Amino acid sequence: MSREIPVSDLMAVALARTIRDGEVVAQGVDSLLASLAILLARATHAPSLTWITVAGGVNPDPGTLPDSSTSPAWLQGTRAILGNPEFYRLAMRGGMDRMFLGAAQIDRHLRLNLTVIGDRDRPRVRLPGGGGAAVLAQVIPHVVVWRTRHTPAIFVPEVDFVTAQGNVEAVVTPLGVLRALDGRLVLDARFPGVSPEEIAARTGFPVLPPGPVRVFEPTRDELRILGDLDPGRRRELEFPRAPR
Amino acid sequence: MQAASLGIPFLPIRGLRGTDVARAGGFATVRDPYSGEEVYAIPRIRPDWAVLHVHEADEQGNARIYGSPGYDLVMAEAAARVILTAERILPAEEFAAHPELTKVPGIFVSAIVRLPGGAAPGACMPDYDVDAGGIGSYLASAESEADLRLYLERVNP
Amino acid sequence: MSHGRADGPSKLTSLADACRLIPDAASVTFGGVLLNRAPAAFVRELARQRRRGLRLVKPSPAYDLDLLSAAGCLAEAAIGITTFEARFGQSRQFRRQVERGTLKVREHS
Repeated sequence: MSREIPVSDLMAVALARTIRDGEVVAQGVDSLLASLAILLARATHAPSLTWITVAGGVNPDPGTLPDSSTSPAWLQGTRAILGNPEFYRLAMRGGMDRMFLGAAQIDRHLRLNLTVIGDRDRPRVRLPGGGGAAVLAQVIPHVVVWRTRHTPAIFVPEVDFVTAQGNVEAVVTPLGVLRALDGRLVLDARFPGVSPEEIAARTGFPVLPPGPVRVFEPTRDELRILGDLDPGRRRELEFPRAPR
Repeated sequence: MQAASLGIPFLPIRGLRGTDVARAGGFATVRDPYSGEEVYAIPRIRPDWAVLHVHEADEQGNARIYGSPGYDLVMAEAAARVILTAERILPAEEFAAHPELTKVPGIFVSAIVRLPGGAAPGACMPDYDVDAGGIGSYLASAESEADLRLYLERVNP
Repeated sequence: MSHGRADGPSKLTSLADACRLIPDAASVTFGGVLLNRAPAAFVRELARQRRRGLRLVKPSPAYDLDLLSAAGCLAEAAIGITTFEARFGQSRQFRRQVERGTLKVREHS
């Protein structure tokens, strides 16, 4: 396969493949790509996963990917609703296996910044905030991060503010998949048409493993099912658009 | 707010280790007297007021919330006083007939306002979804103080 | 003849009167999460009444935090995450006030 596969598709498949069948998985707010990945995993290799959505639905059947967290589709088919405190209590007592999080900065020690860039009390940039990630990243054993851009401003040697750290095991970007290895973030797979050198150049710290880097290839089935799950390509909403 | 709802000074919480959230928050740690495990002690947050927009309420403030409850129930318990705005006011008999559907007991509530559309331009699911035009109108108006004042006059209540 | 309890006095009041219960510098939390079920109309009335120095606590605010920030009603905010999500973007006015130093933020864990 060539670089013609849309990056959003590659990322959705890569995120889906991190999920193991039978896991209890959750996504946070502003998480279209992660939601799509969970839908894809459930439709392919992880049919027994338990999905807790940000709206608090349990194993909903949204049909196709909704475009906002208020969409009634998130609660379609759900037979229980967990309020936010119930969601956190479940995670805190060890009842969740995997969560997908975003981050503004990620450093080589797998620490995440979702809070501020610059000084904490008078920041250059005030970010959306951690939303409980500081706790969740330590009580949920498998945390997967994704970003829809891959630049040295995102992948920094040291984050400006440690919002969360702990069980981050993988990061998915438009260039490939990075994984935790002995407490460091290391490139694990590259997307078709992307060279390891390009990834190294766009990362603010050394990230290449000693040996060759495998190429991540989605299957035709995965791509086809992705198309069924999100025919409107709403997953593109998370990708940077031209400035207005 | 969960600590406040329990009337206790703090909640021992796992997590937060090695984060600037803990540092910036100035959180102390405590040692579990039984196991010796050290955890952060998150101080209680007790707001003076909680304001909740609910779907249905009676005149004494018993309220029903449909769809996702969010954190509303903890807020109603953590705050010193509670104000409700409601899409609909229903007679007390409705609540007496199905008290198990009541999410906020009226005994927690100080005041209630009948306010259909009170969440707009946001959603009040399942009754109405986000009004995208209304959000856009706010976002544009908020860029200047003068436009925001005009917005507040125009979008009333 | 019923000897049951009376219902008790009605707590119904007007929006303006309900807002007047909240004084300057009060700590307040609002229900709802992000763009769902925040008491938007109440928040607009607080801004119209030019409330000052409020301390907002809310895990996941959006319109409420942003509008009160823009209207200069807040002294501080303790939040978990704030966003209008992918469709509308970030809470710009909140961000602006924090970056200017006119709004202090406490982290909500």
